Amino acid sequence: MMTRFFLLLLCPFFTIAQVNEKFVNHLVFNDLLVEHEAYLSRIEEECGSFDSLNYYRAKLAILKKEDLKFIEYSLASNNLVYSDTNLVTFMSSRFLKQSRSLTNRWLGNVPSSYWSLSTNNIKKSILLVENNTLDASFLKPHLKFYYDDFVTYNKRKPWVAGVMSAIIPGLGKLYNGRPRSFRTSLLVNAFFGFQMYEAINKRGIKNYYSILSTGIFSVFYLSNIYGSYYDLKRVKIEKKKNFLNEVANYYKTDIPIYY
Amino acid sequence: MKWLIIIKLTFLFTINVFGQDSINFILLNLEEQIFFAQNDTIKNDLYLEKFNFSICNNLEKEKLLFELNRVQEELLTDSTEHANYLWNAAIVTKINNEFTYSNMYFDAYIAETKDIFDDIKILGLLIKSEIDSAAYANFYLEYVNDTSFKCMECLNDLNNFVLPHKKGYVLASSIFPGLGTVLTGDFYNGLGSLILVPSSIIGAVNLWKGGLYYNAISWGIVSIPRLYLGNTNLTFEKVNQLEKRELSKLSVACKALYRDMLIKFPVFYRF
Amino acid sequence: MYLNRVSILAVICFAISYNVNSQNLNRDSVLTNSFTNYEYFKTPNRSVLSFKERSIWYKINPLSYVSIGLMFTYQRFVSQQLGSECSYETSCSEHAKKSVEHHGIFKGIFLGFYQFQSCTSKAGYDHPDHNINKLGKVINPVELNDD
Repeated sequence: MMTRFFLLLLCPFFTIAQVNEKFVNHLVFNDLLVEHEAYLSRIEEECGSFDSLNYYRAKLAILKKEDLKFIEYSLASNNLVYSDTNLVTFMSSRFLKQSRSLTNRWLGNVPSSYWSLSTNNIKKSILLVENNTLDASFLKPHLKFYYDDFVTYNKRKPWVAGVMSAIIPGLGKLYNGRPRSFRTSLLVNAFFGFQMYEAINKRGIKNYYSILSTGIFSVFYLSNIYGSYYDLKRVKIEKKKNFLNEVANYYKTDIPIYY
Repeated sequence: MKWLIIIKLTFLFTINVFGQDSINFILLNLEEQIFFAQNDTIKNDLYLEKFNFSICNNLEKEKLLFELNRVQEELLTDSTEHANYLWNAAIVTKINNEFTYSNMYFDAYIAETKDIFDDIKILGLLIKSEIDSAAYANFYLEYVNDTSFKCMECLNDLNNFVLPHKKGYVLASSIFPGLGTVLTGDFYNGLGSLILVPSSIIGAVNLWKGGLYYNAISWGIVSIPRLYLGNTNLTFEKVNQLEKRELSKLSVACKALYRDMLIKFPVFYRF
Repeated sequence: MYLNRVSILAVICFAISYNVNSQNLNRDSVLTNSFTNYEYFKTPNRSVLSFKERSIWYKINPLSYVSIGLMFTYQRFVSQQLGSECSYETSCSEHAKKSVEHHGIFKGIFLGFYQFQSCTSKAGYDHPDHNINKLGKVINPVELNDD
């Protein structure tokens, strides 16, 4: 009686020993994310969590653009995700475009024995922007151009930009690598400067219009100085991100993660 | 033993009835059958079954459109099934703003079935009004031609609505800064234009009279054209907003009429 | 006998409920997109400059209220009169407002006017590609993110 009871209960459940890769590819190429999620959930319900399931879950998290879940599943897959060198390179490149800390977190989890040459170079590039004294000979010529650009601006001092803007309004912007803004800044400051000069010349300093003109000119002049000083910090971050984006684009893999 | 079978069957059916997860699993089961199907006819039947299932379970309109696009119409042999597919396709494409396809499916449905019940008239009027007024008029004359549906012309009127004297507002603002903006209903911005444009002119003239020639010319060149043209542009934007407000009011009334008609003659999916 | 009938009835009910198809098309979904083009949504007014995240000094300083008043007057009444379009993602006045809220009055004003001096149609050429959004506007956050 009890045997029959257990047999009856087990009847509706059929076990799937492994994930059907061709079926998963069919779901991916037809863009059926809901069914894909349901397929992996069903396998998990019936057979529990195992390494290859976590591997497929990690790849699904890439399609759904859930980066943290991808890292979580890749850790749970017991190195199965890391052994897919193409996937590691793909994700390293993708994370590098988003943030350095996320890339470092990801590469911290991947054992170095699974790093391809591209992943190695990505890590070296991150270390290079944090410490300019390291050897940059591994960089290709066009990446070297962006790196040199970053190093040039990284060496510049914000106070120099401020002083240059104080001497000639807008010159700090040229120092910061913004030539088009330099012309506009110079024209705007010249515009208000001549107004102030004419007002003081013809009406004297104690006239209300002279005070107003002087006030307006001072705001533009001082904002130019402080803005150039502050902008150089922004420019350094931009150059760093530009270099790292170029590295990510160069080392990204052309082999798709599903095929 | 009997009780065990009853409990097991109840368990199976309840799993399948309740919850979004169960819908996803059914979609998955259908997709698996599609994957393992031997030939295109069986696959197509399964595509149709999945499409109908998605409709029954009120899935997102993008998912419905996706499933619709997988069905191959030419492989549907049963005429009733084909007609129902065309009807459902007309509704799904309409909901997804694919009005050209919606019109195509609707015309194909009418050509196949030659039906012209009230729900068909309503859906037809909704679809034709999105194409153009000629299609709407032709459909009305040929298939509807019923005074009880006369009120539904409001949608066609909405499509052809134009605010009268649009250029008059802009002309008024060109002659008297801010007047056109005030006439559109935005009093504060109109007042702002009225204050700023003349005051910039007066300011420039006063600077010239005071001997500050560079100041007068520079402020005059920078501020006067900018404020004057800005005033006319603002009036133009406000006129467009006024037109949208009027259309919105008319559309509320028209939508209510259509809603009443849909209560009387509801449009259902067909299976 | 009675229990047999009840149990069979229960199974049949569940079987039917599984097979019931939803006949009810949501009336509004058929109507809605026909009237979507005619819906009018009034543009929400821009937020007023506030010093909530700043120290008590800003709340008792009359200069704060003067700057709030000036910014409010400009954004509500003057900005629309000029009819200009900023080449930055956040407009110059909005950037000035956020800078003032983040950095304080003087630094905020200076940064706002600094952006104003850079605001030309060709401003995007001075910035790298990853700083330009899909509409071609320069992304200009107030806080620097060095990650």
